[in-house]
Amino acid sequence: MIDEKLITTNRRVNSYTSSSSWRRFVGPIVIIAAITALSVIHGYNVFHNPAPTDEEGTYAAQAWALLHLDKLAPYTYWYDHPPFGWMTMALLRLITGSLWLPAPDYIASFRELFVGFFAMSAIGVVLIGRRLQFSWIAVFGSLLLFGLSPLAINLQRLVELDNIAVLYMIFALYFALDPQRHLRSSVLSGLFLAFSVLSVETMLLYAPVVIYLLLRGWPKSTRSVAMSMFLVTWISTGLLYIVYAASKNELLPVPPHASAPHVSLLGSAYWQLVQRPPSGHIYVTGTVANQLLQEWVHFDPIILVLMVAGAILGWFSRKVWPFALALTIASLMLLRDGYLPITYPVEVMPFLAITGGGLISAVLSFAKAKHRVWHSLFSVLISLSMLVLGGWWFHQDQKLVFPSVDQPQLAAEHWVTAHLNRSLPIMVDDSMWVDFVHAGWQPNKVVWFYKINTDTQVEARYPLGWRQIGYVVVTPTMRAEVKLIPFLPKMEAQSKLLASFGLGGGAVDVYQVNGVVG
Amino acid sequence: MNCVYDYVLGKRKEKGRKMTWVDIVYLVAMLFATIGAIQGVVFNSFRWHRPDNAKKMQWSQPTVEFDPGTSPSLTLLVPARHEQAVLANTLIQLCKQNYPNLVVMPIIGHDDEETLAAAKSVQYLYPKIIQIVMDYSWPKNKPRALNSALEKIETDLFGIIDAEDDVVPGLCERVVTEFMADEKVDVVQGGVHLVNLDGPWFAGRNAVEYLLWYASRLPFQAELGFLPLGGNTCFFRTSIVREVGGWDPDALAEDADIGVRIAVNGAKVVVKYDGVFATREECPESTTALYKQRVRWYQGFFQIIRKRDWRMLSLGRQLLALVTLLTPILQFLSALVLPGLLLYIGFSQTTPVDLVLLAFVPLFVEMAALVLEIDAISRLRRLESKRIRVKDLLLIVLSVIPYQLVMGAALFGALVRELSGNRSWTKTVHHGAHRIQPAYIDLRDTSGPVREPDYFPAAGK
Repeated sequence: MIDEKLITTNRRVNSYTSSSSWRRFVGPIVIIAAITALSVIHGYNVFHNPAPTDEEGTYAAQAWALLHLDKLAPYTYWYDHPPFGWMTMALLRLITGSLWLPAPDYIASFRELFVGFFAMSAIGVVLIGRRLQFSWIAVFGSLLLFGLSPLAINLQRLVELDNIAVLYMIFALYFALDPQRHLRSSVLSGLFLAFSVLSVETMLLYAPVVIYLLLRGWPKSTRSVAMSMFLVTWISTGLLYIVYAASKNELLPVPPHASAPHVSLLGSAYWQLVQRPPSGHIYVTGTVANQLLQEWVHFDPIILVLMVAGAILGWFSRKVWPFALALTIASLMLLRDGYLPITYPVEVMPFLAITGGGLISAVLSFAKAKHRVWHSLFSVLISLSMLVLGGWWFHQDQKLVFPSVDQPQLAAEHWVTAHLNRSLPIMVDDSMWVDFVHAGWQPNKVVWFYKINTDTQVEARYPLGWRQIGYVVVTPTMRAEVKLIPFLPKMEAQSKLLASFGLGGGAVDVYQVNGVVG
Repeated sequence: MNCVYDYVLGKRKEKGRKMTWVDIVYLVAMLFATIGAIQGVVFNSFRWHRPDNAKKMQWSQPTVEFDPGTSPSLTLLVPARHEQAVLANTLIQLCKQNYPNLVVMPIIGHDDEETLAAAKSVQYLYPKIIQIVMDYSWPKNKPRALNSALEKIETDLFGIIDAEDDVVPGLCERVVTEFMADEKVDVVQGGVHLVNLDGPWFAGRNAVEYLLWYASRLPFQAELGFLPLGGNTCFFRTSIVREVGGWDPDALAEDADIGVRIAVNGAKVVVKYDGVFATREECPESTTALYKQRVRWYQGFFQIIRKRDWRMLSLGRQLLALVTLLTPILQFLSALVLPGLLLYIGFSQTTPVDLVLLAFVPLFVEMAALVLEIDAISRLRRLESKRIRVKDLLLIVLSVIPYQLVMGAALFGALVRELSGNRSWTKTVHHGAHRIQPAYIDLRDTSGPVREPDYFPAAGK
């Protein structure tokens, strides 16, 4: 057990006494340079890699709906996720207005914002590391773990709610580590934890980490007040979501076959937790979970191994116990047969980064306590291994996350907007939804494929289903989700192929549905 | 929020309904209620803002031996009107304060024979300490009594103790230590603690209110530069009170009033609180007594606002003074939060969702206040070396609305009295319910052991 004292002395005093003046600036400068470099890597060709996904399109469209339709979603909002994530996106969009760089499509225009989210998260990780008294080498390690792996870059670039939730979680952790133990910090921690959970409900899994940090940090004299204020803030902010549903009379589910069916928060929660088809066991080949794992491994096997390693090794340093707890929770959740989202590793990234940094810090201070020689030896060893790992990751980045991969989709969008009749309904996957609305289609004439047989309003508009649609843009996402649209092969067979972009599984095809006059 | 936003920009969507005047009145009222509630929580939790805040509020340990030759002398004023039941006991306790240069000055009305008799009987026991002051002013009230004693004070320091107070031994030494530690300190305010937690239904809530006031709010306000002083356990340099011309003879809240005038004078006030050295008092014995006490305080606050002395403070302190003096109104607004919310949502089915969400915010702040109160009552029980009971918890939660009703009634009572020009004193009656020892003391038995005052007389040992 490498057991360090949980030091609460003034950090500045320590660094003044232990370093000569110029050496004090080396650490911060290296870290600032590293954050800048990582942000540049995240920003490099962010518009064109990864290819825009259906989920990104959904969240972008929901932010768009807030800005332009005053609604939480362009379709009936059905409590699939709490809305604070895309509310944040819309609010920031409102503030920043148009963006600095001309983006090729609507999703890409949000990716810019997400590079900013990444930079802020990275700064947050550094600040958390410093609050935990990590040495600069350890902080550098944290940064590396947080943002250089191709898997991390691939997922952190996505317009996914998880990236926003992670940023809020980092704020919550940062305030929970306030060295002054101010009551205000516990309140802010509760507020940001609520924001995080209201962005992605699964962040609730990591709430114990924040609670643990607060319980450990606050002294007995003020603990009860700090905890109760934290809980009141957290719970009541979270309750606003329940109040929202209740005030729209959408809290409780209606019984099946009711005369006026409507969406409900509890109904959706029940679906998410119980009814949603599980992704299967991750170690059984052929399951959805296993496919996801293979995709993650394709981008970076190392970081997945490090996550599991961190879940075990983290328990050897008391300082990072709360973060090791998060990794352990995350690893255990992976093993069960439940629904697994593609962005799962994103939520774990900050905890991995801090656990890793904490372990480096623990090893170094343990070596320092033994002898200076050990300290130097370990410093060199750790720096070298970080260099090797970083170098390899950067090498992989160049192959996996730098080249453009969105050509078929972009070309299809351009072709559609240039050639097709705006008065006919068009069925798309959500990654193109806003773009076609911007191109001149009425919002209710651009149909997200997923809604054609799940949203009562859409079903009422097109009682004959796909036969009433004018055009269909078939994307790889739609082919993968064929279970949701079983009519797809039939439709492809009976419709006229207007144009096709890309090859094989990545192809995007534009069809004109027969029977509708174009 | 879109609704508000649209309204402000005059940009209205066809769907949904427009904001009505009811919405606007409600929102404005709730805005004030929220601000009031937030300032309440922020001020009342000051003791726990930082881990060392409570430590800073502790009395410093006396550093020197006090001897009659060199230590500063201190007068304790004990205004007493019809307090024959409790005065003798209080005076004896004060005389037993372990401080060499002490004068205890009961102030007795010229028409109050029975209280005079009680004071004289103690003077017989401690002739060197007790100096009885007769108050010939008319009509009788506390500020006039204090003014008539102010002329007679010969010491540099003096303090005010109420006739029913239990003062903890060692307090005087600590007060003098504070004055000696810093020449610039003009006023030292000690804590007051309501001890009969098992009294009437509002006893727990009342005690919590006192705890949060003396242990949290006053220290914070002292740091910010303005506070209304407490009515007792308050110690002054005699010179500063003479400089501001003593107490306003017509003030109903003479303590808060002199607090304002002393702040205008730029005096330095120190607030000290710890569980052990707080003066023990009883809460009003009945709901009516509580009502009357609050009417007096609230009317006193309104008087102070009308007197406009506070306008001479700096701008920030004026705001602080205003918030403090308007506490009754802010409290009343927060009492309206829950019923207002229910009515608002119940009666307008079409209320836009944004407004409903906004309407819930003050309720959540009220929840934070309640949680703080629950924490406080468990702390009070811990001071008695007991655990919090279910009954305490239930009472503190269930008493929220009835207590607010009493406060609201008192607010209207005070407004009516103030507007109709009725400024007479209605005094709280004390029976010594917080003392386990009977009020009557057999004065012949002076040979027995010296009674140490119980720290927790209400515990029912």
